[in-house]
Amino acid sequence: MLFVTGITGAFGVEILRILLRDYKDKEVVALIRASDPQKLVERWTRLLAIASDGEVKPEDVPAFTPLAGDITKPHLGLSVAQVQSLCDGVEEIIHSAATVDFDEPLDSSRIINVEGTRNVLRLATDCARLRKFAHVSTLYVAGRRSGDIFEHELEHSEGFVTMGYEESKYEAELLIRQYMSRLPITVYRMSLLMGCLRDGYVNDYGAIHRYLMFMYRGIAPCFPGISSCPLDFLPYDYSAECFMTLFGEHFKGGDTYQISAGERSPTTERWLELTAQTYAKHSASWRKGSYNSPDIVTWPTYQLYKKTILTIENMEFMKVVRILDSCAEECFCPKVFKRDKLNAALGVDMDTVPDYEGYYPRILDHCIEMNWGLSPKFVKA
Amino acid sequence: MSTIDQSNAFGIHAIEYLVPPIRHSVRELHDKGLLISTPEAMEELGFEYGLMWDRPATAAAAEVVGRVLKQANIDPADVDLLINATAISESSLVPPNYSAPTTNENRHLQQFMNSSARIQDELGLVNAKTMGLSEVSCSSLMTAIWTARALMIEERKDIAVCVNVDKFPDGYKREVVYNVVSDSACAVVVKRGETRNRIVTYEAMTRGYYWDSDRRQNEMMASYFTTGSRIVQKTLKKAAMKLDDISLMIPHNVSLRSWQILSDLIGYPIEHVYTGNIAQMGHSIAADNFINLKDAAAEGRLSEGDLTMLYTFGLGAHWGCMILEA
Repeated sequence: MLFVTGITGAFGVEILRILLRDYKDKEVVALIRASDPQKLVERWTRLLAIASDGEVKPEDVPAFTPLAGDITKPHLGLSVAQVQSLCDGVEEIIHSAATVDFDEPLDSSRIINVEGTRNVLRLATDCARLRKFAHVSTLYVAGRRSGDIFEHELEHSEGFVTMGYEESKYEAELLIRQYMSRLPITVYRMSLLMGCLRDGYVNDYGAIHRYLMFMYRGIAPCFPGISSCPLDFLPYDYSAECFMTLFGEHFKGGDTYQISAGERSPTTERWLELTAQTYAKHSASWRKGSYNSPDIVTWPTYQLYKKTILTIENMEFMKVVRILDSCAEECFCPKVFKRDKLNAALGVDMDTVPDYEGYYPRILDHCIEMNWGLSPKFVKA
Repeated sequence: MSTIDQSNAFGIHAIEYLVPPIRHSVRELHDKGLLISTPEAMEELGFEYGLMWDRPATAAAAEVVGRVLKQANIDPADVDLLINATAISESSLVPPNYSAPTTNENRHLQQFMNSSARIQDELGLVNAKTMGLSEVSCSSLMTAIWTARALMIEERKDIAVCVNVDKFPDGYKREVVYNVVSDSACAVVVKRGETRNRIVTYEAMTRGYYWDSDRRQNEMMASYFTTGSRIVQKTLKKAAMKLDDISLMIPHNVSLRSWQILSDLIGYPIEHVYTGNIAQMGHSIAADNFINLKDAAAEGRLSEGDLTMLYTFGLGAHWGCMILEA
């Protein structure tokens, strides 16, 4: 039995897609937040539809069971009987549930990312048949570190950029390491996930997408950062395939893998250029130069912009500032996330990392077509 | 470094300006309902006063042109070209009832009572071709100077007077895109062979998408800096120069804060941007650059051979940069 948390998240949906392809006859239990059984069924039905492009209904996968629960609650909000059933049967756990909101405060991020993880670990400790526990983390536990970031590294005192996301995920990894001696745990650090390689599909519009939306609408005058700073991002589906291959075929407890773009990341400057070029395909304002790529500015210059925006109390620009405040300082901490262990485990080299010049414009095409998640055509898991 | 054949070298021979007599602090403007933002916000951005005319634009225009000709010791009959550059279309017209009562029968003729012709008549510029230049907002005067230069090259003429006088209609808000706007009056003599403030080059860019400066204000604000840094680079490239070559930046008087940002963006020290008039004069529509140039010279900020860059922006939207050699 495979027990999965976070299956409704952007990454979780891609895991489900792979499970439907490769684990269809295996017993899978997915923990999903739902206030009542009907909402559970609705959510599960919608999720399956998204993960299968409309092909799969609940009755098609009788071995897959959704379970209403919540990782932030003791015993994951499950009944005694449900907990016992899991403890008796679970052999594999994928713990992907987290808040990935960049401007979520630290306290509330901790509730989900640290205490939620603790609750799942407690359950795992009682799973007598457990062979594999996958903890989905983030590359950005590296916080404000710069330079090469290796897979085995974790502890640092450089601080963090986002309000609570990075630090809480860092604390969750510290907690995970405490359990590594007694449970078969492997950590998988994900990059910034933008959309799908196969068709550009975006399942969840996060801070970066919202900034890109403001940029598309011509109200992002600047981007704080260093032009040459690498911006590590990857598609959901590629990342999920790497993850599930490592988990399914190359699991080794005690290891940490970084599913990163590494040296294949674009620079901040190239990312903005490519964004502007893609926008010009869709928008006359971009084609005619009425809108320009934002200037990459120093942190003090960005603070001047911000101070001005606060002085004039312009609500639209304040939304842009809020996004940049939540994450843009990352672009002053140039780093390369190394993935040597992952490459060795999968028997690949960096050439297999998808080329962002090819897939990233498709993601933007999709965002524009879906009006940045506001179109009625967009269905969120 | 020069981009112009010396026989077609033109320079700024003289500048005169008038200070509108009605002076209100930003607090007073706010109390009169003439600001959109708070006075504290305007002060934080660097503004303290706004100035207003107590008479029609046409009267101030004739006065400032008269003064510049007197200062420059130019016989009115020697003026070849007069361009009246206005940001506000009303400013270019002689107002109704100025000479004769306006009736229903002659009301339509008001549309043709242009200030440039009246100035030519009043000051005896008997040989001057006259025209108006509009629709480039606060970049009017700079555009007029470049246009005058081009016409004088083509027509082999020697002396042009370019004037900007704008008067906001009574009751209009005095804040435009977070800038305190003053009425203006400035006249510039452009002369062939003038070596002072020799016009080296000029570059301009229009992004007509911003014709709707009301609905598209935020987008325009976002593009102000990104396009501004591009026009600076484009102008420097045209003149085969670098920013380090520019001794002094002569701005239009948008907020001091805007200049702090733009100078950071282009990598030019704010100390070399002439911001001395922003607080006291506000943004004098299209005249700022030349008012500032005159004052900077008077304060000894320029030495012979120094290169200055005049930078302007007008709603519509238009960006412009002119390089002069002092």
